[in-house]
Amino acid sequence: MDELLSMLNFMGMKELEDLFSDVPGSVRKKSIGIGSGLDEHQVVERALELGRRNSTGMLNFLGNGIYDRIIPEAVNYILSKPEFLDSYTPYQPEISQGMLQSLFEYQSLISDLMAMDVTNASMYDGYSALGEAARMAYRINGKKKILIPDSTYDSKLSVLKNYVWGLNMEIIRYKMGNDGMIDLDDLSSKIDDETSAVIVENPNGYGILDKNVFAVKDIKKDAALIAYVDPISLGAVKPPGEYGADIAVAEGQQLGIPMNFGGPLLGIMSFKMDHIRRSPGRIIGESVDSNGRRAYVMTLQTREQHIRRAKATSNICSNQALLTLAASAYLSILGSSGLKKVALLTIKHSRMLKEKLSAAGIKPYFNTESFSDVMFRLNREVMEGLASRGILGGLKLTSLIKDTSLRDATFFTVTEKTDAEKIEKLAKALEVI
Amino acid sequence: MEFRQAYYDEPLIKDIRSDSTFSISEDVDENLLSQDLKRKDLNLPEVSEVDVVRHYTRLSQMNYTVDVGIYPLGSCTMKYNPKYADRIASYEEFRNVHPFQPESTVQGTLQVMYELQEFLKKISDMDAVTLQPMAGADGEFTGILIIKKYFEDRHEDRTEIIIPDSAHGTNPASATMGGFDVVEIPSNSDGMVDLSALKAAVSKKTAAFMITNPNTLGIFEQHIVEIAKIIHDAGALLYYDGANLNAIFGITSPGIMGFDIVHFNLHKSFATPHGGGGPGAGPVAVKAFLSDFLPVPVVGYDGRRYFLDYGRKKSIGKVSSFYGSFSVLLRAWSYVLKNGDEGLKNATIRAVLNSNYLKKKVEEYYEVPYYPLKKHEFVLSTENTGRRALDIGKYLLDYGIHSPTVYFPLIVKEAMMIEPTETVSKADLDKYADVLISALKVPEEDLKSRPRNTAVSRIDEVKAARDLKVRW
Repeated sequence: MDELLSMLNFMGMKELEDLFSDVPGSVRKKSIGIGSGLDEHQVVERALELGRRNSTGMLNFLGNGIYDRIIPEAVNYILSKPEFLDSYTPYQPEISQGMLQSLFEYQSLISDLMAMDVTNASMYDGYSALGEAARMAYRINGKKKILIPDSTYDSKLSVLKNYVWGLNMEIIRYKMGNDGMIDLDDLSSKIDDETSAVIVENPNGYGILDKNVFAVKDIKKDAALIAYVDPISLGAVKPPGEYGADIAVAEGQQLGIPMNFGGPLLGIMSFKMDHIRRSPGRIIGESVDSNGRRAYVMTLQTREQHIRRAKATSNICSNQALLTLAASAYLSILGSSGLKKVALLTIKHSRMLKEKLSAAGIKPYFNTESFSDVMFRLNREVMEGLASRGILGGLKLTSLIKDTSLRDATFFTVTEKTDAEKIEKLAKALEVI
Repeated sequence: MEFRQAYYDEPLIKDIRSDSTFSISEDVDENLLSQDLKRKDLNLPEVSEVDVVRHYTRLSQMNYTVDVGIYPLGSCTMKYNPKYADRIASYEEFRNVHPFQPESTVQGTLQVMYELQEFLKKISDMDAVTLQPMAGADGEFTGILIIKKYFEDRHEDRTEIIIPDSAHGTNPASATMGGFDVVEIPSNSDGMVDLSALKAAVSKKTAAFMITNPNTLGIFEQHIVEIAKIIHDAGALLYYDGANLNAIFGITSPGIMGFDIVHFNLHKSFATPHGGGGPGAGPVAVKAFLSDFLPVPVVGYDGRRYFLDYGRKKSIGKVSSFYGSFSVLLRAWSYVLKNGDEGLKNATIRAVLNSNYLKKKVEEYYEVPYYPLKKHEFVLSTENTGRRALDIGKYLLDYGIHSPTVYFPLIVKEAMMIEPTETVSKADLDKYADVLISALKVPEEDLKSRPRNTAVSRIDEVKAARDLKVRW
């Protein structure tokens, strides 16, 4: 209290209330009304008590955007370093080289993974990155039609709609064929001179690794090709840069970030070098300091909201910087060999899942190759029944896409963690519920 | 105190080769995938775990953090973030939860979210809250979409959003993203909204007026009730940019002042770590008449169980993949719980005290324009000193003090925007003032050669933009 008084005295004030003499009486508030504070240990105990009301440690067959994957403990360790966890946007590059170099490395690692020229750092999540990609396509070609597959989930579509609402862009759905892959004839018939972007997904909303995605560059005319991909799949599967994508986007949660009930996530966005000045978000560049040493800074900031204001390429300010670090550390620890193995194990497990559930009378919807999310014909609700047996899974496609003809489609999801033993447990549980 | 930052000539991770030590024992056939799906090659680095840890540890030592020293970056609110919140966010019981789990299996998580919604309502005096937006600017965008949908629903064609010239850059950027035209109005000689300019700008085309209070000059808009009346009389909405909300906790609130929509920057006001730029969280609160327009779902409670409520007929839909930055929300929840009414209000009082104290200490040396009483931050100008704000900022780095925000707001020449926050002691403020004043005494040449004690010296930013090397 002595400290406060001496500070007030220094300013010639009598009481703390004098600091608020500019706030009119008519808008004064007596108390907030949330009650007294707790001691630290009480807060921790209360958090633990609520945490225990969640059922964790269940066998997980849920996915469709968020996945339960191996996170090397070293990733968590690196992220918890206060110099990364509790620093701010590197506005002062001379004292922020650690974060800046790691962001530069992220841009490089993801560009290599996507086989694209450049990557920004960073977007909020996969869905908003897709929205920003559509806005970027408009900045590139000034056209207003966006084509997107029928298999895209409602929530992803809703975020996209909100992002392009202000531009009055029109979103048009194209069909998926009987094999669950893009109906190239239908797509082709919908592409015209007004098409700004064709959005493709691989794996698509049905969980399928869609070979027809690779053929879209030949029919897309002048439209931009936006590929929404699963970054883990790229350990083995053809990346967007190999099939002519102009912009590649992804959800990066799988790259070392816990599920956390779906947030925070990591939006990934890569693109061709030609488009770099039209991209949203932050970009880190290499330079030198006054002694000629290699150094990193935020660059091309004249595109950003703090300088360009109403004319900025996006409004992004706080973003997912820490989570780019998770992705970098994860990719560095796994290396090409580790990521390839994780991707191939995922495919191996989805095949095992198809075999085991088929044997139990639950047939896969399509015969095409799946990645993590595998769609089955299953006409009953199994989610709650499985949960009561300690298993999570059985998500209906209709809970993701309301207006679909595939009413009996149900997902079970695998990752590299979902081995034969776990799949066996699921198959057994499904037999009795 | 001498400040020295480590410097390593740290190679890029791709140049460290020590063979990956990552392993999974289960075997898989390399040729499992058909040729037509396979990628040609992949060139991620192969590095052992220990070398990855050492690489990032060395990088971390070349990075300033709030745990090392003060970070008085105006409008960014870099206060000390208490460690219990990080501990709580690390619990597997919260981290290991999938967003599609049945509600019965995630009651703890839903309860945290519900309680945070309730806290935010009370703090802001608003009626309904969404936790979905992922950062402050995302909250602004969400607010803009709500405004758009509201007028669409009323069949009113309102195309303009009015924004003061002192506003955060995100305000005009968010308004434009939503498809609105931005009308900028000047501040008056006190640094507040010029009421006659506001009246002149308002019309039937006005959808909303977007301001923060206190504003970016750290000045409380004293005519806020009158401003609210002007806006509402015109049939428009009043939007509160919550970036400076920590300056008024327990003193007043957006709801009392007459605002219709507000976003919170949980990572600022509610002390959650900034992560080198994020993640943040930007919940939005609205008055009852707008609650139907909020993104879905919000968390509901029927007296027995917590649930995800999708029942909003006029909802704008979704602004992000799931339900928001949960681990940030969790930290904010624990911060509010720990502080309570008194703690939050005391934090506000101390933040404002610190700001005014520091201002008083330096105002003999630097010009501090506009209305004298400040809230949690103030803006000074280095113009009268003949020194550049940028150079003084770099000088501070040599003393282990993060530079203030420079050249913002745009309406002050050679601006330095200083926000000490409530977690800075008097001793630190005194030292900060001394260093700010000593910066005026060193020869200008010396100032231009700063910083020297940091990992690297002054960086050529022009070269970075001109030569554009953005990957290896």
